[in-house]
Amino acid sequence: MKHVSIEKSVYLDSVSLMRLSKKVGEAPGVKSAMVAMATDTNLLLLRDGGFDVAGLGAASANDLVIAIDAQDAAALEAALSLVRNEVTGSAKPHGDGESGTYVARGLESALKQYPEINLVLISVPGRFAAYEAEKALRAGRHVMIFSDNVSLEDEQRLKQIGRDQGLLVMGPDCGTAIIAGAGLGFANSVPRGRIGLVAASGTGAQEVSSILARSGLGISQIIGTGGRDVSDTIGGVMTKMGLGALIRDAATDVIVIVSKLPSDRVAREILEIASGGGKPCIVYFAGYAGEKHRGGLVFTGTLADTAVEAALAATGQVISPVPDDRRLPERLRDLRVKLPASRRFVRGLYSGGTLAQEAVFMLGGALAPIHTNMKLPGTVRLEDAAVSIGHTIVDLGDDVFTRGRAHPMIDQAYRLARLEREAADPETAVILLDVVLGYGCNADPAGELAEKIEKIGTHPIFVASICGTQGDPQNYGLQRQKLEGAGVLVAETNAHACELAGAILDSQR
Amino acid sequence: MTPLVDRVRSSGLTLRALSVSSFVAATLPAAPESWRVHSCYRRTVNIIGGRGVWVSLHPLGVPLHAYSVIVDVGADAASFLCATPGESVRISKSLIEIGDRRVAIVLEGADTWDAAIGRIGYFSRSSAAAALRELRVLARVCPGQSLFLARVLATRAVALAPGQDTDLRSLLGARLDDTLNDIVAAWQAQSADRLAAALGPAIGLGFGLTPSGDDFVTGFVAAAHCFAGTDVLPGEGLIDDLVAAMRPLIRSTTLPSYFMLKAALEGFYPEPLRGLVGSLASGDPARMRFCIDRLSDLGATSGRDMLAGVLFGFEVALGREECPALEENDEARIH
Repeated sequence: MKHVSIEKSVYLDSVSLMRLSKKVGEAPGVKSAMVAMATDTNLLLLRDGGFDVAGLGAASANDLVIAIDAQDAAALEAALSLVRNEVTGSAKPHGDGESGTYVARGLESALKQYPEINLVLISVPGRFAAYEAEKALRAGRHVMIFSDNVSLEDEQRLKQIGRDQGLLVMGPDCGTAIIAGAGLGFANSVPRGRIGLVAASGTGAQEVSSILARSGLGISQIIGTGGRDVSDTIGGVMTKMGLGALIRDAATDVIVIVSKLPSDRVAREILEIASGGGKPCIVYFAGYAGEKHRGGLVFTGTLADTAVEAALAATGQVISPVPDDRRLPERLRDLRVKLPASRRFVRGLYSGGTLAQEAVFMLGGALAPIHTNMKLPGTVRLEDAAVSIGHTIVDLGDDVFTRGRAHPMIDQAYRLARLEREAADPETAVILLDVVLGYGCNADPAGELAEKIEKIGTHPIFVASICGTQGDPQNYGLQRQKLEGAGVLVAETNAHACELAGAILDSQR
Repeated sequence: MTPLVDRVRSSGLTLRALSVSSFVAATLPAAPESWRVHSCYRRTVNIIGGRGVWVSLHPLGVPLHAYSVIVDVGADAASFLCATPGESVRISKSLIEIGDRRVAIVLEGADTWDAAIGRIGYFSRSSAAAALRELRVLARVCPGQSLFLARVLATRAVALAPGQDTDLRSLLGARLDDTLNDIVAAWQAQSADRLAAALGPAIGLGFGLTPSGDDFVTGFVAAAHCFAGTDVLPGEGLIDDLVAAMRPLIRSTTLPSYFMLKAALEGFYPEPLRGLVGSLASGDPARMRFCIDRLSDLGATSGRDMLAGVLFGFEVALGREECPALEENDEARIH
């Protein structure tokens, strides 16, 4: 059923027109649709597509032509109604000043309207982020740069300005921060408390703060720095400034550092400040395998242990992130028995980069070689990050996967497709997953995963951990229920999930 | 703070123009003329003059077109100028007054931005070939979608995965393929009339307020303009004849698009497109990438459609047999 009509002298901008065309084209029962300007060439195109444009009467290029090919009258009417609503809606005047909400159109106007603002969160395409960040710094505000794809040179320059002016530059690519109780980026809902974090790793900070929160302990601040801060080029500028801030912060009793392994020089400078701060300090440098106690500091090997040590320093109590589950050995045994011998590899599909790194470090010893898209010692680099080989752990937040789409902590489309592909591989024994909750994250990550996993059947074995809290918008308990309902083995922490995956695979060898 | 809309309604407002394109500066009358507001969008007010002239007023942050004036609207640009279609406008080189002096925009003191690509012989055949190779690599990783760009890329060695086109989109794609083939044949014949006839069916074709076909043609003409008088396109006869042959054809599209094409035929282009051409001439891949990113942000698909036009213009002008093939490392960069 083909319909074509004209709306006289309707002006919609291109973005609105495209959006409307797409929306109508995807409406139920619509086979094809075009909402465009009624130019001669478009009308000819429609005529050739079988639409009766001769009956339209006089139309000019400045009118809107609406062409819909629908399966039936009801679908057509629904689609037309959609168009009418959009066209009428777009004709409403803008900015009538009656809503009472001030929407700033730029940094200057926001700062002018609210001069008390002292921190600016920048989340714009990477190529514009440095410019906006510099404007904020020049205006004397701290900055959190959520954006990635900012050049190292820009990062160096911005952090230099920040250091000179005593302003924090959190990021670029800083996913998580909590400042004075305000969660920024992907932060979880955690109670206020006495433990402060300085983190060059967003999901690392989330994992530690969530474990603490689930044990009833709170956070004073999370100062994110962006992953490259501890590189030789940047020199840990913001990690050192953040440490200084936490040392001076009266609300912080215990300091936690979460970061990938810095260079020797940067590590030495960071640890020197931490040692002299007069506050207990727990250090998680991913991949660090040295002594546990050094220079008055406590070094840990996993994010879960980091939370345990921080809790011990803050309260004198030992928390147990992983409760004793007496049925677990039996369940593992059942799973192993049912697993065909040909299924022998682990496939880790991670949305959190630091959690993926932790998985590599935890499994690397027993399951070497691990193939990965991350640059990590003792691993084999995947030539094509989209194709797994043997034991594979991939960070799906890597640029190669996020070009043109949102981060997998927000949009799981690629992860779900990859999960299906990995499950179909007859050599996949265990699929290891992280489910990251928080304010800016996907509204129902476990629900999406569970729906896909339920369709897959018995094999492979799915092992997941959930990084989040009961207070998160997604709700830790509900997310857990969904995964368990789909037969997923849910671990309490990422480290525990890796142990379970290792135990299943170890028994096969 | 009183919102702009209330201030304007109550007492009128005098604003300052920050930037005026060279095309507009040359167009505006010395003595005041009566024009009218043609159309208003959230961040654009288009005004039109009786002698077929057009100026778009924007707040800072909107990409500059050849017919743009950027106005400093201060903190509140949400209800940009509160103009309504049909309102009267008094306009001259020094002042624009909308709605009986309700809003006055002072043009004196504004920067003049040069919108012209000009025929200054940016390219030699070899530098154009090198730029084309880079352009083809970068166009493939250009974010977002454009049917025109997809079709242009599909004419090269790397085929696109089949899409899930609807009937109308398939038809549009087929129409486009015919147009591309006709353009190639017309260029080979070095016939301006045939070239205009080949480009004609693209004008007004496709989605958007400036239909995709118009953006494509703008990009194509930009490429032709920057080759005129070089060893790629010796002499300026073909481009001059092409411009003359196309003038009557561009009337068949929307008014905003007509004025964009009119400016393009005279050698004046949107700033992101002009930036891209400059980056291609520089041969600097990082600059090209930056400019392609910026161009791809223009409009809904306008920037990418213009990119398709530039890319196709380069391919046609250099001749397919001379188009540098992608090398192995180029393929790696794409994938």
